Amino acid sequence: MKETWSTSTLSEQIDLAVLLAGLSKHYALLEDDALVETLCYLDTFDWRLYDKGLLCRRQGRSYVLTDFSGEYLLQADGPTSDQPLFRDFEGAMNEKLAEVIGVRALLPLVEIVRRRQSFQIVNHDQKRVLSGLLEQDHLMQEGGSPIPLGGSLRVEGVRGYSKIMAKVTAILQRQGFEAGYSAERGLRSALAAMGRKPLDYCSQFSIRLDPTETIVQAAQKIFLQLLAGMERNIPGMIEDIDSEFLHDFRVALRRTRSLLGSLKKTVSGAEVESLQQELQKIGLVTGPVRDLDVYLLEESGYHAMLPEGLQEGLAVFFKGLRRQRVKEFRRLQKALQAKTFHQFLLRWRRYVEDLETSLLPSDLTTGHETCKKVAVKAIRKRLRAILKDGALIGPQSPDADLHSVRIQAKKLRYLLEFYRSLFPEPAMDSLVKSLKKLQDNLGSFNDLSVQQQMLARYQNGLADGEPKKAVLVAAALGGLITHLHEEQVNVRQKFDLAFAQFTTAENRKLFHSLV
Amino acid sequence: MKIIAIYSSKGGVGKTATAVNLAYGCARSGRKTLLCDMDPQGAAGYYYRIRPKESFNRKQFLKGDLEPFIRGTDYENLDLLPTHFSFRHLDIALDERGGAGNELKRIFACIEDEYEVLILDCPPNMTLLSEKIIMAADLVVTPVIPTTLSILSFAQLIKLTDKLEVNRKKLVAFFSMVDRRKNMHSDTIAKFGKKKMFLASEIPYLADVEKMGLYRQPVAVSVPSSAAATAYAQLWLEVWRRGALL
Repeated sequence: MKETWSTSTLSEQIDLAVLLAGLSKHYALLEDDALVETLCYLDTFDWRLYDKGLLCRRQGRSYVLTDFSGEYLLQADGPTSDQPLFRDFEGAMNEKLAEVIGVRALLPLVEIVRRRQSFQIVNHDQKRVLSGLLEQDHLMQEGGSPIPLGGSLRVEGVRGYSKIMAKVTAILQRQGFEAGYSAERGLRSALAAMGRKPLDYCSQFSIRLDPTETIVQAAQKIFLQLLAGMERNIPGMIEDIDSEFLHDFRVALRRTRSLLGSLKKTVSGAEVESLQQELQKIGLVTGPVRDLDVYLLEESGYHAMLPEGLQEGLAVFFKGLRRQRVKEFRRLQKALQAKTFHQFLLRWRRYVEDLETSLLPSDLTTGHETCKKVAVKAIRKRLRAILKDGALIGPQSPDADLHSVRIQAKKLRYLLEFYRSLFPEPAMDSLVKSLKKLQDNLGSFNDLSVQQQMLARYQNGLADGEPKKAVLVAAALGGLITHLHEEQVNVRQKFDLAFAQFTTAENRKLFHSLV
Repeated sequence: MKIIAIYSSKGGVGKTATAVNLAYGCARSGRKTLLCDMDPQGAAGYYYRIRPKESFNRKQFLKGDLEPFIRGTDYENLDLLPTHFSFRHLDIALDERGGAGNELKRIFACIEDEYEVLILDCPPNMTLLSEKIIMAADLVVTPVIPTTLSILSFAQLIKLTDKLEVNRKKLVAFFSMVDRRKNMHSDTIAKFGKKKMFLASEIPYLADVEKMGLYRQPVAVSVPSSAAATAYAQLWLEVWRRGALL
């Protein structure tokens, strides 16, 4: 006979004596001393826990994973550091977090002060006939007074004393309490008090466009959303919280450059050329750290590729990479904090905001075409190129040809993502899905080739170091290169199949129906 | 479900104090326990501050309709079925129903799945009800004041169990309200205490036990570190061990 009631409309602290004043004089309320605890909700920057229906809260060193209703799933001690990673935990918590949050760090979302007050209601024999727990949350604010958030009241009846339970329930209903309790609702109201809401950042790009909008209006919307995405990731990049801030930033940057490139003939504002150069420069500045991150994130995978005897050399190699990353990161951090970087972002924002007015008279006609029309043209062109170039790939084709198909596929993917909302959803979904499979094959091929080149470059540079160590490292890298090469041959052999699956009659028909 | 009856044909030997404190000890050991107050005086209910529901009486009890009348105590794992004034004629009613079968077992069948242990606080007499209780119980625990009269009534109980052809091993006695300063108490314990039917634990004559009527709580709650609380805790362990051996 347990019931939970909750309220979200709390303006001040609930006084149990006042709340339950309607009980007859045959009953008395006994209140225990209230306990006050501080707890903090955490999630990754991109809400990976929430997205999977999970909530994580921390009290001191104790971390609890619950579902949205507040039901405990896991509890474990963890680090007191502000931004823990899955590897900072042990046991089941480590495994669960690895599965759900991957490489992302947990960040504090909100800090809540919870007042817990247990109580009993006794009858005229001083017999307990009901017990309960009142919890009230307040949001901690820096430098301000706590904001009341809401509360819950759990009441548990005693067997054979149902009348009092009914009375208390009636009072709670009258006072606007709702049956049930949701931890998710509690978190949501705390976030709302801070002007936030769950899932307010997502690394996947999605935008609603109106087919009758001009391409300039549509492009402006897309650019602004991409820019907002980049800007939101900058603090995390500077703080180096986890590798994905930089990654998401770079993806948004690539999308921006790709869209700007595809619009060259439609919108040719005078500044475009120089803006493109600046965007490219940012790509170059942020590249080295990301390249190193790719290796470091795969460290355990590399170790698994080599036999015991070559592990020592590999460990030395990775130690070197980590040292290099520290150096490269310092350079990146400086660049991100530089005035010129922020001045450029401002300039880019102004350009995008004035996109329409900055059109030259000669651009006006093309700039006022509907976005749907431009989208169809761009997608058709990109698709034709892939079909033509892909069909020419044979066993003897140089790697560069595959590389070029990969770039085309990537550009097509961006176009499909930008203009997704202009086309019927099921057809679009199925096309993106099969394009993704082709991209996976091409992407793996490229990654493997880049990795081999990088390892070979590193190997060549070894001669300057300490000879004994150099031999060890060279052997390990040699082993890796061999392994990666074999895998690349493997992936290459699968290209024909991936391409054939992308160009099935069914897919061609789908594309025709769309564009 | 194990049924433990706290029984003596003599009044004032500490039956209810025993039932109340053993039930508490049993519930504390993690076993879901029901204390059934069969004595129409209702002292067990009084100690747990529980009154019967108005609609409850002998009729419902005999029908085996117990569940709606069970009430939760203030303690985890421990519920109580209060008695009713009409229970004073329970034996007559049982007699009218006739039947040589085990009436009480049938009545308690409805709660068998819910409780691991049923403790009966029995009225002080030797009637048909007492016979049915002795037959239904897995263990009959008898408090014995170390005096001649008490020993005599215990001897009567043994005779009754033999007559009912009930295994004597079901009978367990312990010395209650012991005052070692009295020669008679010491002598009686010396003479009978070694017998197999007697448990080693004894409950001394203590003010804390008498004060239960004031506190209306088991001694382990009202005076947790008292000699009384320790004595009942020990008694419970021994009773349970004896019951488990059967």
